[in-house]
Amino acid sequence: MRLLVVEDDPDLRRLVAEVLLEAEYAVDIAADGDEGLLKAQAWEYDAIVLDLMLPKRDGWSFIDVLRRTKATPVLILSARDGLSDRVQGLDLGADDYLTKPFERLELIARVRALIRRAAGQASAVQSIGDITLNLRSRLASRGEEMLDLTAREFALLEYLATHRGRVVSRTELYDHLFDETDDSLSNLLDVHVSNLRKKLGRDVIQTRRGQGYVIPE
Amino acid sequence: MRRAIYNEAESDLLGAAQLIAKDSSEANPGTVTIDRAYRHRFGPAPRDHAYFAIWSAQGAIVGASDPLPPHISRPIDLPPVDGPRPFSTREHKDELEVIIRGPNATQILVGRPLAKEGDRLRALLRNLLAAGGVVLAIGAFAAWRLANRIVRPIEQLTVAAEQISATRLDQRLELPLASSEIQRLVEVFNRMLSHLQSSFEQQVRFTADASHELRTPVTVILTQADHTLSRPRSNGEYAEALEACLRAARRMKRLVDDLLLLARADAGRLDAPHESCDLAEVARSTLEMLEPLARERDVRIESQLQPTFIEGDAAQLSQVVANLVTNAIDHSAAASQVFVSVYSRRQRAYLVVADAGEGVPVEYQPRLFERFYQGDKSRSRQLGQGAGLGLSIVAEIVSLHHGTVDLSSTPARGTTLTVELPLRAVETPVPTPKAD
Repeated sequence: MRLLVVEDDPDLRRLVAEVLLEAEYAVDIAADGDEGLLKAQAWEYDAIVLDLMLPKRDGWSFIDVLRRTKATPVLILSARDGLSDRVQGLDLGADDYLTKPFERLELIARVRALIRRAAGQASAVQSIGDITLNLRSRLASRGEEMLDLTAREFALLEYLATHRGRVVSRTELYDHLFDETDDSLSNLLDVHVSNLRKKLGRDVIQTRRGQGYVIPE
Repeated sequence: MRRAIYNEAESDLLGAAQLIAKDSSEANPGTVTIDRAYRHRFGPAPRDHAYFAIWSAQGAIVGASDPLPPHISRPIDLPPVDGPRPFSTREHKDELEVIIRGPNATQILVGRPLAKEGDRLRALLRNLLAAGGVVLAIGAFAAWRLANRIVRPIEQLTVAAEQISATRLDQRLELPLASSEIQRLVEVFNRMLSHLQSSFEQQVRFTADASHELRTPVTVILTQADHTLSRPRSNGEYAEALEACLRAARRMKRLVDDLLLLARADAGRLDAPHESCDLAEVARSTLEMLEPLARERDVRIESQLQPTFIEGDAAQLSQVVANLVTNAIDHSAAASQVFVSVYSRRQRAYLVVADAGEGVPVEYQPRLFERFYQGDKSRSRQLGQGAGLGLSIVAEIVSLHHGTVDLSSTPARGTTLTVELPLRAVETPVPTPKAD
């Protein structure tokens, strides 16, 4: 899952990105409203964490413009805690609102819930056959047996499971699993898929030649 | 009044008596016949019933109305013949009687009860009372109306004023029907409310801005600590985390210091400047402290400082220099210069800080000295700068030193801030203030 953090304060921007990175998200950053909007329109982010008081283009304008083309979930993270600020943000199309100072775990939980809701999944636990995926603890198991997945493997499995039944292209997977600073080669994807198949069994993830991968419903 | 009515009745009776006397003299002297008309005239109604009696010279009644009241007796004294009052009168209970001399030394008495006159007097009294009552009622009503005009608006004013509280300062009094004095009072009151409202709103905005500015560093410290402690880290990571916390804490400290200074200025508790100090020396030591910042931004500070003695607080003046120069550095492009000069001219001291930056857009200029005002937020924040209190602090300190700050800016050419202060009255060399 790939996120965009738009925050003008340098320390806070780095910090929010680190917190989300350690929660195993790929994270892009932007320091002002214009840069943020450019990235948000160019990429398919799974969610955007947005400050309101931004240079060049404030958060309200950001949401307003973004919503004309994209439905990317937006979590407002702002020091402004007035009711009118929340209402205006949510009315414009933001999906959630968190005030600074916030608790680290609450930020992670809200981002997770936002992505799940956007994909139409209400539960943090998903099942694929006898495999169970706990998105909160980020652990996978088959029956009682825990599966030993790397963070990237889990993220790949999570994305395919969240969009179960849909053929996900290699480009889309790449966009959502790696951030802009990641210089991994794209054939790394095949390595991850192959490793996952070894751990889960051959048929869980299917290949559609020339189209991508899918976990059938 | 009573007298007039009495006189009228008297002359009425006198006229009747004289008529009777005339009739009786024309008729047969000695014997008097009374015309029926007179009898009639004296009326049948008991309360108006008039009566007369005629006595001969010998004292015998020769003619009388019938019935004659029992109390009638022959008058003892003969009435005068001449003079202003050629008759005599007497009263008996409610009756008035007039006696004149008739022909042949007869005495003629005509009397009647004064019931009619009593009626008139009573009617008069009644009228008087009624009129008095009406006048009184009208007066009372007028007084009540007048009191209402004065008291009611004041009562409304009181009620309205009671309903206005700190949370409803946007309300205004409305009294369209009040007198002009009350209207003026309402206007004054409303003007006062407007002042109160604007200063209250300013206070609310100031508090909101202050808490907003404090939230970001608090968030950094809280989240950084929480994040770093969430799993074991390398020493390098711990050091970085502590540095981030330190930066945030420093930012909070500066903000709190600034807020404290402004709060003291608002409360009038900033110490009035009294020591003599050399503005040039204050500027020199402050510029030394700012040198590292200027180097970091690749900005060169050029200074021209002439000894200029003023009455002032060296620490506060140093803050003025620091805020102005930091601002100038923040708004300067790399490899550009900031000019600082101190000089005196015509009994005034001047501190001038000029940059060659992008200038302040005209629309931002009037608000530049407002607290927390940041014309272009992007620049200040990206450079990790203050919260927009720098210039308002400069303004406060300068005004405490009885001086003025003037801004002139040309877009794309740069900004010049000029602080003008009164020169120390007698320029005496004093020990230079210690540079700290």
